[in-house]
Amino acid sequence: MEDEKIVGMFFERDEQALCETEKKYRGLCLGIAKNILNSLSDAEECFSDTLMALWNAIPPERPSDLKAYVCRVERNIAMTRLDYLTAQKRARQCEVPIGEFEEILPDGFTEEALRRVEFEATLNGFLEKLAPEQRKVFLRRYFFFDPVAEIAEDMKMSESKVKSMLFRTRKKLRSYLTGKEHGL
Amino acid sequence: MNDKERAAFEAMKLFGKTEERFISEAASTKAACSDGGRERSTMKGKKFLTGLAAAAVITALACSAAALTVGGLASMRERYNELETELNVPDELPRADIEKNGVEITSPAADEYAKNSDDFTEDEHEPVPVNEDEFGPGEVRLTSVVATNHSFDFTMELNTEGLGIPDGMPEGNKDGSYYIDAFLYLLGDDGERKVVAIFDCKNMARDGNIMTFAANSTGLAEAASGGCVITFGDIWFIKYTENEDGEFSKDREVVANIGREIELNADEFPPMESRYSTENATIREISFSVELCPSSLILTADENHELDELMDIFNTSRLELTLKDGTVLSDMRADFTPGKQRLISGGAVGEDRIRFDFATLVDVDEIESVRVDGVEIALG
Repeated sequence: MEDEKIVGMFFERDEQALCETEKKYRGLCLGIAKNILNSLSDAEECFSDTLMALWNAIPPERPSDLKAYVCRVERNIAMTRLDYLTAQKRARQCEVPIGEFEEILPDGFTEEALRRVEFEATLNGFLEKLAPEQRKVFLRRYFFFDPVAEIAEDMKMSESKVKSMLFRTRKKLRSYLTGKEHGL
Repeated sequence: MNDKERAAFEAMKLFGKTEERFISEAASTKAACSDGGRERSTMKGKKFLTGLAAAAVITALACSAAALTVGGLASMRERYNELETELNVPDELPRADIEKNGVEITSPAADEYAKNSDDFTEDEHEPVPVNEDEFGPGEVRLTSVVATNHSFDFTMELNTEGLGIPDGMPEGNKDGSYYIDAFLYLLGDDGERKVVAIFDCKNMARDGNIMTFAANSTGLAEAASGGCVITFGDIWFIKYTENEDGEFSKDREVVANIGREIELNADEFPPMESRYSTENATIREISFSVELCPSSLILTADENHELDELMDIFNTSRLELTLKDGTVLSDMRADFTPGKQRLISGGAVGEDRIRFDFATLVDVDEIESVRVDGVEIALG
């Protein structure tokens, strides 16, 4: 079913919207949450929360791109759960590449610095400047947290090429953040 | 976690604000992600069923028919026994007496209601007798209802004749059950429908063409009054598939569509009684009134708060029940220790309300007091 029609069903408060969303995006969402939490049961709970969040948010919101919207909601819910599990020291087995995110940040960069540079706007500006292939690989890794091998398989690249591309893009973002490099 | 790790973690979260066009572009490269992808689904999450229900009081529903059969409540008790085993509910937790508090009914078959919809709006009506002829091929009827202020459970029967449902479980199934999608709606004055609960009705028994199902909801979105409708959709089972790498995936396999609905009249079944706090309790500086319902513990704040604040209380507060014999049982929503005994199965959070759903229906009369996050709550 077309996304537009599913959104319309949400607006009509037609519960079939949930079934259609589940049918279409469950696999994608479970993949995102499982990459973050390393637990299928936790991922399933996150997907349940995502459906609930969609039901509560649409309307009034009317996503123009339902797929991306669902992905974003699922990711945010899974991250919130990871945050909680981490605080409870229960996230030892989670496999998010936190070290790679550290590499993105310039030395001494704090949470306050992230706010100062308006990280989300900066990130989107940075993504805009990337070549599409580079951007896709970058987001597959850092938005969807997909394993390198999986990205390589889907993108028809060698793993070493993916790793190399990720390394270079992290370095570029780091430079971008420090203001040393504004054009790509 | 040091400052740099904290900042990296925050950056990782902020990647969630990536513009949708970029997300979509990257998602399009994922193999077969649109229909299950690498992780195929299981059945719908139970937590969603509880979570969709926001937070409000609901009265019980009723069918306009007399108690003509027995057995529905026994099936419901059996279903609760299964859930208690799944969730490892402690033996000490006093269970509500379902057979005493629920109501055995035999509703007319779905089609009968559809054809005689005036029946349920009359102030006085005669029970509609049910016989073999009225429960025809493909039809459904309710056989019992168990209601609280915040939950609605029922058992139902399906006449499978003509639906093409295999006698045994199809190949690839492991749990031995069929499920039916069902939705409970409130009917507005203008006939508009508003969904308040979603069920996976679980097959409990089969006798020839008659299959018995039990459906549980641990939270309803808002109060029912006047007419309600239960709709019945797909009947399905969980199919396990092993891929060439030896990995199993689970998928929902639909075998037929029921496509029936039953209209109900509200207010005829008394819900199981709740108990209430004698005074407000202040938990993390928020003042709540408290309702102890057999299905849930509901904290209602005096005013709206940030969702995160209430979510934090929901996730991290220890809930303690002190029984009349002095036994103390406790649970924390976000304690996911494998195999631990559970009192709480889920719940929901709104801007002024937190609802902890119990893992089974609780006999509230056997509860001496409740503590939430260390705050004692006296019950009237």
